[in-house]
Amino acid sequence: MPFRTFTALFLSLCIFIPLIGLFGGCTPIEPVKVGYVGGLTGRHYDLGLSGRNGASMAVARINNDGGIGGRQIKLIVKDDKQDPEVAKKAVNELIGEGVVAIIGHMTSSMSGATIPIVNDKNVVMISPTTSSSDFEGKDDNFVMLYPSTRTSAGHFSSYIFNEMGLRRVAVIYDVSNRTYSESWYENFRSEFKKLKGEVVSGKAFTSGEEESLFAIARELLEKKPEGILIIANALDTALLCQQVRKIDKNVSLMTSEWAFTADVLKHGGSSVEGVVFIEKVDLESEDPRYMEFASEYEKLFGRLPDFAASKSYDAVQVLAAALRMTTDREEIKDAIVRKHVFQGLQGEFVIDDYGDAKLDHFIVTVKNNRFRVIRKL
Amino acid sequence: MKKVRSLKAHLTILFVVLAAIPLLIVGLLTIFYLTDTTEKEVTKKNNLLAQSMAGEAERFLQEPLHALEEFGDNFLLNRAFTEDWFKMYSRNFLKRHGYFQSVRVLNEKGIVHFIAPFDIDYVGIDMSARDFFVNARMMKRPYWSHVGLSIQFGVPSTSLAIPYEEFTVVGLLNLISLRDIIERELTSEHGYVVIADQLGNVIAHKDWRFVEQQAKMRGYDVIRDALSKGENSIRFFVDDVEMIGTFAGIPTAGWVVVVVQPAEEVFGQINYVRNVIIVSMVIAIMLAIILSAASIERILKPIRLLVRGTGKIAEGMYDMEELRDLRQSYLEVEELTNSFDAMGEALSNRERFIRESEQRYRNLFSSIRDVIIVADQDRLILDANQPALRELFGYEIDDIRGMSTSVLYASDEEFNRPGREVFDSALSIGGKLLETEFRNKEGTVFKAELFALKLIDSDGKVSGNIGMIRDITDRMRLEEQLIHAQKMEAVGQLAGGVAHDFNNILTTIIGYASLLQIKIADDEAMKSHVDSILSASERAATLTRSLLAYSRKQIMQPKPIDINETLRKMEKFLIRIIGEDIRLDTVLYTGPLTVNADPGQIEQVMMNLATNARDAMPDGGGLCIRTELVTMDRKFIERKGYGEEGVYALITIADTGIGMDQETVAKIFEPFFTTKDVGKGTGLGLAMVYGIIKQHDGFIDVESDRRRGTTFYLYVPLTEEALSPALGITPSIEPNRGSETVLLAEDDSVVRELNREIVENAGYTVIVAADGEQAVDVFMKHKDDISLLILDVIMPGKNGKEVYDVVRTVKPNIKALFISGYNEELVQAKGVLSDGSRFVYKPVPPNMLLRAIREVLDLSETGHN
Repeated sequence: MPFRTFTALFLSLCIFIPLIGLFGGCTPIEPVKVGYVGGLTGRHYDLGLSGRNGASMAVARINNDGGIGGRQIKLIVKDDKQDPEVAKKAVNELIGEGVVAIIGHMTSSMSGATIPIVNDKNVVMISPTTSSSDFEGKDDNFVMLYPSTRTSAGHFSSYIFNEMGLRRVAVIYDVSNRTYSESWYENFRSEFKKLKGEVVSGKAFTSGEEESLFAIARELLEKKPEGILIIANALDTALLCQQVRKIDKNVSLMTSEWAFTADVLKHGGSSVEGVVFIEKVDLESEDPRYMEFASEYEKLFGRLPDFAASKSYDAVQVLAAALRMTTDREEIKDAIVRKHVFQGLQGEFVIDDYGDAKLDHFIVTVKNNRFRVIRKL
Repeated sequence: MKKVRSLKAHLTILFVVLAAIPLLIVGLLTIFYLTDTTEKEVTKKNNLLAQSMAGEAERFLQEPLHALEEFGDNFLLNRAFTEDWFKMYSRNFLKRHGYFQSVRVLNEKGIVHFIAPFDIDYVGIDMSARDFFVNARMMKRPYWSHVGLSIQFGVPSTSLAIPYEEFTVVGLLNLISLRDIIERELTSEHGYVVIADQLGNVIAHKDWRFVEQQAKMRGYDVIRDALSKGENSIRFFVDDVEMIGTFAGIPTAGWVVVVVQPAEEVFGQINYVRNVIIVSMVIAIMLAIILSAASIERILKPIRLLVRGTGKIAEGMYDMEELRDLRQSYLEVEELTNSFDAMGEALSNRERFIRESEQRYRNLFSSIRDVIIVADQDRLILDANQPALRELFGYEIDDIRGMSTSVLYASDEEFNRPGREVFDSALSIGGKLLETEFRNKEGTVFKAELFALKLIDSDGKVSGNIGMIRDITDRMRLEEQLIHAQKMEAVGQLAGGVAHDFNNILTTIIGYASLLQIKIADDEAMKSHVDSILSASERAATLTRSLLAYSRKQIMQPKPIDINETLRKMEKFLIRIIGEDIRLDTVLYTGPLTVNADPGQIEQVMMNLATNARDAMPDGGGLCIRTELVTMDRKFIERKGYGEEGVYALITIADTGIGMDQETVAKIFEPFFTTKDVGKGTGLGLAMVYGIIKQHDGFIDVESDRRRGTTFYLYVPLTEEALSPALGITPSIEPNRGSETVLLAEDDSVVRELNREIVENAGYTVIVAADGEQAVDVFMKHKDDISLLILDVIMPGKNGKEVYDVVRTVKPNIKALFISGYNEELVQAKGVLSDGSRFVYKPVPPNMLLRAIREVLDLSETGHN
């Protein structure tokens, strides 16, 4: 009786298939791949690691909340080693692995090296910390969550001149992240000049390649400046501060936002007391979102988050908001621009049609080895 | 309703469960056992590995600790020495302990005092914020800092700080050697070893990038938790891949060594076993299904056939032939089949019985001539006995089924009132009989009796009623006829009774008036008066005869006559009666219509009818007399409501007169009913006709219409006897006188004396007797003299016939003349008439009496001739 045999086979299959499910597990839903690229090693590792930490936290949070339309986000992390060639390779690899977008880079030089690739491949790259004014106001695939050096330099020169009352300022800047630091230096110099201030010296150096930072400090102080503006990473800034304070206990020290990480405190010790920073992240924010984030971050990584961590967290949230509108990677930039207003850890912020975020500026200093906000600009 | 599961599904599931459960249990137990033991084994092995690595790491850390302690102690002893001492001593120290990249001495404020190898940038800088300085001084014991990538050397390094009272010795330790510890051969292909620092940062990994990027070890938090609880193994996920981590702590630095192995790799064998079990289970289930399908089929086939059998039974087919094969299958099935067979037969018998019973009931129902209507509570028709329904109402049951019974009633009034009354009474008190009017399909209204009973359903509840409708048209007609007949009979009795006594009175009056007439023959004036008395008496006698005729007590002398012949003879006479203005048409039956009748009475009938016709046509018209041969059958009787089966001569007398209304027609045969003016008619004419025809065992009918006149139908039963010549009595032209001796017996003294005088005047010798006894006595005395007995039929003692019988025993040839007023008397006297005796009825005029006496006496003589 062939019919009965057929029925029997059919019934067997009906039982067998659920059993496979029971014992064999199930096919997972394809995750949404997101790339992260930043300097994880080398002297600029601090921004890269913080950025990676913040981004991973955001991804974990989104995945815990159900992902994007039920799909989990998978973060693929690459190290650009602060090397343009490595950076290009990393970005190409990420695109090749099918990421919908890339979070990174953390420094302007690296961003400058890979922007042509993302524009060419039509993949959005959201940088949490890149702020060179070179990338500002361009309708490309590069989204800057950090306002440009131009605005920062403008605000900071005004503060230094008017509030701190300094007229003679020496500048030292790290050309290993030239795109950023030169832009900062130039913007500052022209703005400070407009205020009738004088940049008594502009000293370029390359991180990790100098014989002695002590010699550089001595050189800077030779021109008897009232203040020294350091445009360098946290470690170099801390070490420079250490050198300056060995010679001169009174000269004012200022830094750009680049150095605004925990490392500056760790390595600077008492030498960074009273150093003035310009920053776009309020580290004393009492926004519950930020406080929760900071506390969790500290628990996970053994230190408080810095601006790179919180902006990376925000960058992933910006991308997630766009992904909820579309997962087609060619439409993500449009989705971001259309969405326009985003919820950040420290309140809402806006991204304009060019993909540039607008943020408040804060003047911060160090007191008792802790950052203290002096003023919101 | 609860869903009923099929036996097949149930048994199949049972089979599958029976096949799968043991396998499943064994399989699961095996898998659990294997999983448990394998995991324990792997954990044990990996744990040994982790512990040995942790031990090595621990030793690796102990050595620099001891070295730096020695360094510190020496520095403490030689503090007084200068920078040169430090340079020399530290150079040797770094050379001796190559794992130190640098060694520094910090003052109590954290400022770098000495550093080797020398670096101007680091001399004098503030390291008070560094964790190693803070923690070492705070805890007052050696402290290993968080691992970081050395900026100076690009390798993972940790700062070991040993606090002294006034200074702190810090050695920057190169951890690259940890790589050698973890890169031992693992038996696992995909497994690896990780060393993580206090924060979970990877400080040793076979993929060195994790170290360089200071990646946090995945699953570190759960491992840390487990470690703090004293566990040494845990499962965790890395990118959705399950891993088994086995770990051991490095207490000196608070680090942990974790041996990670993918669960899939560990449980690969078990998974294989699991797959084998699954496949076996599937095969077992499939086999179970196939086997169950086959064996269940064998079990279910009889059930299915039995189900089909019940279906056939439900359709009324009791042949269980196809179940025969089943007897071979199972014992239980055979028993079931046998009882099924028996059940089928029992059902068949029962159904036949029910069918027959139903047929009997149906026949009974249909054969009832009353209409039976079965109606529901709303008086809607459910059923009716078709033949009666068709007969009485003209409907087919399908015409009216479902309709209200109001369709049968003459009007809504009948439906709502008597109909409702009967319906309600049926439901409450159990039936009530009412007469009401109905209407048939043609629209004809008729009267019927309605009776109803409750309709009880099988639950014993009243579900409607059963109405019975009986057509009472015939019965009502019969009742009317009976009433009429009874009335006629009563009138006849009355009339007959009166006539009897009245005849005696008239006999007296006529007798004495006749004697008086003879005696006063000369007195013309007196003679005229006596003539008036006689004339009036004659009319009274005629009247009495008419009454007797109506009451059928007239003496009838029937004989076979041809009605046609009688009518032909009467034709001229009838023409005279009806006069010149009325035309008489006679249409006679071509053959003879022989009836047993008294021709005189038939003539009387025709005369009376002709007279009536004449009076109905004062302005002239036509009278048609027709004779026919007709047969009355059952149908005729039913239609007309009278008659008796047989062959009749029908005489039809039709006039074109004024006709009568139905009310008049109904009373027309009643005595003394007349429409004529006072004095013109006696009201006895038609009553006589009725009486005579009835006396001839015939029937009479009348139809009348105001426009077409009146027609009488006279039915006289035909006799098959041959026509016989009439025994006519030749009227005596001789004087009715004689000299013989006559015995006159009469109880009425007045009549007796009158008759004695009449008879004696005629020359006879008369011996009288007052009653029958006396008559016999007197006769015995004068038996030789007496030639004739004149006997009243009704007398006290012995009646006329008894006297005659006694006398004849003595004198057999004695002649007798009976006198009576009753037909019954005639009957009593019958039998003697043919023996030369005669009969006259009262009142007997003297000359008629004398003529009768003479005739009897002469007859006997003739007879003798």
